[in-house]
Amino acid sequence: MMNSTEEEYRGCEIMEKDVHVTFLELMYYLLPSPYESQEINHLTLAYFVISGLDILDSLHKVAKDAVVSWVLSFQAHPGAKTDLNDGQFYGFHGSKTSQFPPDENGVLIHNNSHLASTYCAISILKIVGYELSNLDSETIVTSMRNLQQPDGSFIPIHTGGETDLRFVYCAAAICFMLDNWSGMDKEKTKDYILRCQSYDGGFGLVPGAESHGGATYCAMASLRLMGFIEDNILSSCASSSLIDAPLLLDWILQRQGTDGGFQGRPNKSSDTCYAFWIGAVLRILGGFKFVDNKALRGFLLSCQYKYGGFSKFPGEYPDLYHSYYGFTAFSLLEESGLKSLFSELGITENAALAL
Amino acid sequence: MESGSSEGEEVQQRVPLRERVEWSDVTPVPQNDGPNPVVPIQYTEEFSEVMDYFRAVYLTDERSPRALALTAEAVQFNSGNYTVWHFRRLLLESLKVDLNDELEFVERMAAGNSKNYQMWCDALLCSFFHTLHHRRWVAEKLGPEARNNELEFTKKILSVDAKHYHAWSHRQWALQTLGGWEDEPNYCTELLKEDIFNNSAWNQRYFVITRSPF
Ligand SMILES: [Zn+2]
Repeated sequence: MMNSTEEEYRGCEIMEKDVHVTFLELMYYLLPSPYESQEINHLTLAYFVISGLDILDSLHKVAKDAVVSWVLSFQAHPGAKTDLNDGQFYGFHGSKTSQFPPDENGVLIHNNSHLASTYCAISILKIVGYELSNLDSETIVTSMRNLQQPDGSFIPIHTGGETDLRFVYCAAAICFMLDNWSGMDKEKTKDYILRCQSYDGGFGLVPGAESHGGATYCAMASLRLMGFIEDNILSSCASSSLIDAPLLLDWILQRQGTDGGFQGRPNKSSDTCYAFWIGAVLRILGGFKFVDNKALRGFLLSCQYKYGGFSKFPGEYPDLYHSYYGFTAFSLLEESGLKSLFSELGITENAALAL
Repeated sequence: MESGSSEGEEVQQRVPLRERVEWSDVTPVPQNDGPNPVVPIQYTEEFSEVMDYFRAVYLTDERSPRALALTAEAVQFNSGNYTVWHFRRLLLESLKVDLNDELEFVERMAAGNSKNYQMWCDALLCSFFHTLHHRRWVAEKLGPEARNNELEFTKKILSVDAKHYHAWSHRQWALQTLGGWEDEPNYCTELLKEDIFNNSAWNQRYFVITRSPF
């Protein structure tokens, strides 16, 4: 990444909400061509834009009906005679390059439904207020069971792929939003998550892997969505036997650096997105009060771009991913004018609880 | 943001598919974005063209060497496209390609991907893991003979970025599936001598001590 000039950063002492809204609006109308390399995650990119506008209390900028029909156009529908135990997953395609029309009998020959896209699709629908009971959720969750592996993890797509906590989280979030847990064996899922907790208290993406802020978020948010841990577990000792909460707290509190930002792993640089991944875990644990809010704010402002958005590191050009997690982080910091966040889903409370 | 700049030169020298004789019999299938696309992407001409030709061969299930070459071009534009990767695996099987050549292809892809990997952050959204998943498939087919290859391949990535999360996870997979634990404690020590604060190397040390069959 190139460094932008100091000039473009000078004087950022407040969170420039209006500038960020304009930035997202531009993205809403057209994503610049460098994003084509992420085309396969088109629904995820859309999620960042639309949910970002919601966090910035500007959802009125979005044409909700158009969003709904566009998102629904990615859904994979099984043919009339399809057996839902055929090993496939009938969720949402990630993008148009992964989606192909069904044959003349309505049979979907090329089904590329993906767990992450399905999670983003349902989140967007929830954000714009679509009535999720209109969705054939039974098909989504029943076929989702085909993705769960004997060890409790999930493959993201029926043709295979890595299994790790990201897709466990997507599966848990889908079940939670559709209010239907028949999509997974919860006990097995829980066992897999617990096997990802490392010796230092954090969670790795797979058993044996190094503790990582994003993986730790996926683990804790999933356990919370699944109802295995209570909110605020630090103040109640009831569930402390499930995970090693004191060790986790120890690990997570050490992630705030001297520059005020959060790092994803020990001895790595602070990075905007971990302000959310780590901050949200602290919120779930009931430990956000231990954060040096002022210092975190200062770090985030050093990553705020003059023309809107946030970068990964101070003084760089912004990208959509880090911009989104910059907004969510400011919401965790209770920035005025921003909507409050439902940490476990990473969307606004209003959207998550259908207020 | 920037991406794909490492392929920049190749893109400039690229002859469009529609001007290549070997593709003259194929009619590209344009993308159907529907009536009201939301959050549209400003596609470059090259990207659209490659994907239009990919759609054509994918829909006719053409198992040919040119289709294989096309998947290589397509993943360079869109390295996270699991549909393209999956089709490539089907082609490798049908065409009985020497999988050692495929390892080389993945290596070149991995080198070209590193920028993209940086941009999309350490782990959650990066598309690099699709490349490694593909590599895993190849290595599994090759069996134990792939062991040294995999350990050397990850070593190469780790020599550039000693904390590369997906490289470490690929290495742990290789050790567990193909073996090669004997030298791992020394490798960890070596890395820790270079950087005592390399937490990934400490984690690997713990991994070896607790999981190695020796
Ligand atoms: Zn980041």
